[in-house]
Amino acid sequence: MEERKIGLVPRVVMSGALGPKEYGLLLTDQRLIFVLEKASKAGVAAALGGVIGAAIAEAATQKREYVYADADPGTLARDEKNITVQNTSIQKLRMKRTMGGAYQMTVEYASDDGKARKLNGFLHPPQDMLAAKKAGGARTKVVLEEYAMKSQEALKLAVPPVVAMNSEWLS
Amino acid sequence: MNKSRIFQIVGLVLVLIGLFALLSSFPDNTKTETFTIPSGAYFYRFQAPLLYDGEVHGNFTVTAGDPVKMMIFTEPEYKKYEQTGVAVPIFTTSGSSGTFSAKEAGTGTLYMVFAHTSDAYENTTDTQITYTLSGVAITFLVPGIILVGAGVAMAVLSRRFRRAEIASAPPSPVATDVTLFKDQTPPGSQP
Repeated sequence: MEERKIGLVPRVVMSGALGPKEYGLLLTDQRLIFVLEKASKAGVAAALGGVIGAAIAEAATQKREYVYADADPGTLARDEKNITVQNTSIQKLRMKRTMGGAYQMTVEYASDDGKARKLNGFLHPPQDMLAAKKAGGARTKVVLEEYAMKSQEALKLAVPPVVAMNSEWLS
Repeated sequence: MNKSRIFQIVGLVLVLIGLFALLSSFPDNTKTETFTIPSGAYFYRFQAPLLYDGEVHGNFTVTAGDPVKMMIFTEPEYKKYEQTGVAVPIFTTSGSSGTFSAKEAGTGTLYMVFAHTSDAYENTTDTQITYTLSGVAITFLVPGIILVGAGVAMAVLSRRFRRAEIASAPPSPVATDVTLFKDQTPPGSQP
């Protein structure tokens, strides 16, 4: 059966050993594919510190972009830099607003070897989108909330109904 | 390269240079030197380019020879001393060893002079001096502040330019918002 693309969350930020990593989240009827777009070396730069460190972090950041509408889910899933979670292995999704006003998404799932795994990511809208909306007069808080709610709607459509029922959603 | 990027880079460079200048404006230089005052009416002098609210302090020890006379002059008084051998020091001491300290409210140059005592002109004297200069170098501080300020201003402008560029840019083919693809239907239901 052909895999159908359900939706796209363009930016999910996860913490990595050397700094934050940015993923695009492609939702299909079979799996969630976290596509690595940007891996920061901020951890290295932080050790160097200060303005120079920040400049190095900027320079050391690699970004790749996709036109997801044209992208093949199978190809993306095979890329080792990406993270793939089968929809049938998802046990629960948790969406919550943190004290700092950010929106966090947690995916609880079982790995191929049956172990319980957890993925934590922050739903931060892309900088271009945030800047454009702010230029149009929108408040950051509102943009973040809208982005999180739209992401949630897409996730609800993608995951199996039983998972959607068991999950914790933003109200 | 667009305008915002140029402003960002120039701003970063200005901030870096400014920070370097600011760090350089707070020196704390300690030096140790040895010197020999030849026999005769010779004297040995150290020039201390004083910093704003600066101070010079240190100590000396005669390692060979007779005790020395140590004086600290302001620049005008040193000129007099150089020409006539008579001037008013802001600090004076003598002996085989000693400590010294002098401060000047403004900027300028102080001169630390070591000379034979009046009854030891015929001898050679070896002396070691350790001195520290402290204060604020206005010549670095003010440009440093200006450069950092200019750099920050350019960074702020670059953000404004960036926003304007984004607002006027054509839509990107890359998704910038949450997207639902056409023909999607919830799992478990018939398409």
